[in-house]
Amino acid sequence: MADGLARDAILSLDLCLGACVVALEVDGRGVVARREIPMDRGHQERIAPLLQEVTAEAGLPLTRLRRIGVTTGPGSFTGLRVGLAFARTLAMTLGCECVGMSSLEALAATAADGGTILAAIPSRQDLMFTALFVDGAPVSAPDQLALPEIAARLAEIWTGGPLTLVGPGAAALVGLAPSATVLDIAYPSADALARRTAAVPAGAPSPRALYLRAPDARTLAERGARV
Amino acid sequence: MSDTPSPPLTVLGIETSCDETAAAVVRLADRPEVLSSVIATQFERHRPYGGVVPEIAARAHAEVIDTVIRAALDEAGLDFADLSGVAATAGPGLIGGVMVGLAAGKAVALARNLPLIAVNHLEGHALSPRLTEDAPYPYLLLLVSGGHCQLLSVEGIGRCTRLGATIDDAAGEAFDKIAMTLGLGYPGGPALERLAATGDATRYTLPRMLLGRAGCDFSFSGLKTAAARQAAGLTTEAERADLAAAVQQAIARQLAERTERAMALHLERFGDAGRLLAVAGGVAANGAVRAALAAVAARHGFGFVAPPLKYCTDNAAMIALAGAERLRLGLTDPLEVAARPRWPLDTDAALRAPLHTPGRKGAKA
Repeated sequence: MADGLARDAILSLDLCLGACVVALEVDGRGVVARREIPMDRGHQERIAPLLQEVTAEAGLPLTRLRRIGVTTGPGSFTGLRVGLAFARTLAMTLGCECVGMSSLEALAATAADGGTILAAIPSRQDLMFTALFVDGAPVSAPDQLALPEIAARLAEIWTGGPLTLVGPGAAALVGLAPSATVLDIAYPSADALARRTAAVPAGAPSPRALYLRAPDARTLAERGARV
Repeated sequence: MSDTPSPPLTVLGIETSCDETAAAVVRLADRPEVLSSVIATQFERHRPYGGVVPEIAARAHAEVIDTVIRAALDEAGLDFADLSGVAATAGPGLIGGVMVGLAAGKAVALARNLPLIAVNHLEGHALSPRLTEDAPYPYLLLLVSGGHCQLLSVEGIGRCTRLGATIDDAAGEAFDKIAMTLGLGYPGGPALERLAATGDATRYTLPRMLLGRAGCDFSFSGLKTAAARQAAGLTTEAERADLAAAVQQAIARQLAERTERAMALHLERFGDAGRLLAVAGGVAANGAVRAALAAVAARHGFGFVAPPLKYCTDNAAMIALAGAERLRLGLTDPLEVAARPRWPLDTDAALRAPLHTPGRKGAKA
């Protein structure tokens, strides 16, 4: 954009889980404004005014953004779509880059660095969205698993040492590892979100939704109807 | 009305309430001009399911919304700086999709500091004849699609009075479901019209729902059941064509007959100034329906306008136009505006005489 303004700010958004989380970071100054507003619903209504608040507080126009990071899921289908549609369209309109990260990654970044981290978000019935991280790096792809499968995957990767269970599903997994530190949080912190956005390499592809669960629908053939 | 012409308004419209992801740019000066109208259809993704699956629709909208908006601006040869406002459908419709389009509209409005207009999808349809036709207010509108079947007196922005609406299925839904029982796939309306072209509409007798009944409401569920029963016993292609012709004639007749009743109510209120019938919605593409409505209009001295098919079915140009007309009146919405799965256009009529069991969320449409 030919506005002559510096492009020195990064915005991070998470609308996948139980909050609207916003972080605004400026190069060399760190996070200058942040919001973590807990909510089960209403992310769509809240996000734009929240962003106005944050930019006003920082005295920084949106045209200074050089990158927008957004969580792509797993989590609330509605929330992740609103986040993605909002972030990608905002980036397109401002002519800046848009990058994605999983909500599990953002939760893991909220836990302490180092050791093994199991991030967990309840899905439906007895299933959980989970991913494992060792020393800050992902060691398993995000997946929707039942408890025995989570136990098996954990046994494969965790060979002792500090273990942290993090996320809205953490408390339900404590039986798998009674010695683990449990960080029972409903959403990632704004600062962790900002760190993850900054860590995405330049030139990453435009973010796409990470549902990890197929839509609930049966085709005509599956219903035995005449097509 | 002021003596000086209002400055032209250039509005981006966004529509995501069903199975089309659409964006358009409309310039409203003395008359509206559609500078672009882009539609990414999801039709193929829903076809295996025999109808629109809300979750699949929402996912598809979220994948393409930003590129569709970009394409609408590119096609118009404009940049975001050229816009006067952003209009997005805020309901009624499939809520997951509505939220995607509304959130995207807010992002554009926020990024460019533009006014946001939250548009009722039905108001978009109600105004759609004005995109291309000379349709001064007030006019009588038959909105007839797969999701809606209503008769409205359209007096202007925010001033639509419902004269009648379906008490069960929409006409397009009846077309599609009967087509399905005839083995015509999805969406069946156009296929049924092709099959009906060679049929004899008099061979099968179908119930004439609400015929002669006072009021302007519609009902298609009895017709649907009767046609399904007949379809089950058919063996030859000629029989199927005859049933398709009978179904099409029955639907066209009911639409024309109820419209005729609405004309009387409309004239009582507006007199000769209101002698214009407009039709909108996907069913307006059906030749038999158009012919029946044109005949009724001619018989009662009404003009008849039907927008081209691309503006009859879901599109964003009609949303941009509704947004531009609202913007001209100073009607804008805050950035916290919510999406509304149910949003009757004529709130008074919907409360006075709900056609669907309203439930705790209120009347649907």
